[in-house]
Amino acid sequence: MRTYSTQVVNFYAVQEVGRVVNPLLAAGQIEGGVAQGVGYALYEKVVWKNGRMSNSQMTNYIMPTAVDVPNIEVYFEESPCEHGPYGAKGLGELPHDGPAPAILNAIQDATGINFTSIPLLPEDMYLRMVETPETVALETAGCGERPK
Amino acid sequence: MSAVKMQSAEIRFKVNGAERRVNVPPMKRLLDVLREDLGLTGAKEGCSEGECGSCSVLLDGVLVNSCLVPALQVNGCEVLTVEGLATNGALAHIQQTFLELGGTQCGICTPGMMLAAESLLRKNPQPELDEIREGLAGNLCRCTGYMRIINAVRHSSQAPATAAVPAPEDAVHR
Repeated sequence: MRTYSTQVVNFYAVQEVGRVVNPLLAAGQIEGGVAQGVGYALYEKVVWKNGRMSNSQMTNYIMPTAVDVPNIEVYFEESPCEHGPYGAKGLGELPHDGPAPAILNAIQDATGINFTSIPLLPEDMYLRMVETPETVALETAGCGERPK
Repeated sequence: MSAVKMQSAEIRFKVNGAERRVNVPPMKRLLDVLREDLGLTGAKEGCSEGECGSCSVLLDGVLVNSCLVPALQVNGCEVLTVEGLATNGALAHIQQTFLELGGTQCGICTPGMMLAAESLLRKNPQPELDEIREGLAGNLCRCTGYMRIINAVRHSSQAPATAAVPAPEDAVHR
């Protein structure tokens, strides 16, 4: 049965952040950013209605829990920055950039469909694959029969 | 609140082992009683709708969201907040592992996370990784990505210490 849902099982992050001053906190920042990136890619849909966010509660704006966030492995490639203290650079926002394209590329690899917007909720995937199947070249992706 | 002033009632309950007595409107949230009447600001207000877990406390040993519990319901009960985890200024084991393994970043989820961990470890002293994730799933964290929290709980349990994340020093390529 197709569920149209996506689960991230492992995430490997490599970051260049100048010199790593505090390895524990630096890795923690990257892991947190990756978790936000996973939410950005798969869960956190802001719905606007009459100029207001209509799902502004934790019950209908879904962010990842401890069960949803995959195992994250963080690696640093150090290249000290001459302008930063002790060669450090900022690292808080960097890890947001990678997860969404990585996850959507993995989904493309699995389905053969190039999804181009996030967050990609199961209903979005369903609409694309079932409502407009003519835009989907499932056969070439070798991922089973075309949904009817 | 309506024009009619809500009458106060005397509520007696035990907080972190000490008998406490407060005169509050019976429908006042336990979270507000703890923070405003008893000065215990460890429990945090996050979503106010029982989704985020930052106001978690143990009520007669059961993990509850104190933003959803009216004061009258705790009459005669025993409440444990994060302030009650440490004994005589010495950190509890779970607090020590959070501290050492980077389980805290901004700190808003931390008191609730620690009580969720305490609740889990009381029921299941040697939880598997999946059980830890499940046990913490009612407590949202925006900063850490959960990895270091899970690791702290794992190290705090009696299970043999196996790192869920690589030691940070090993991940740096100089």
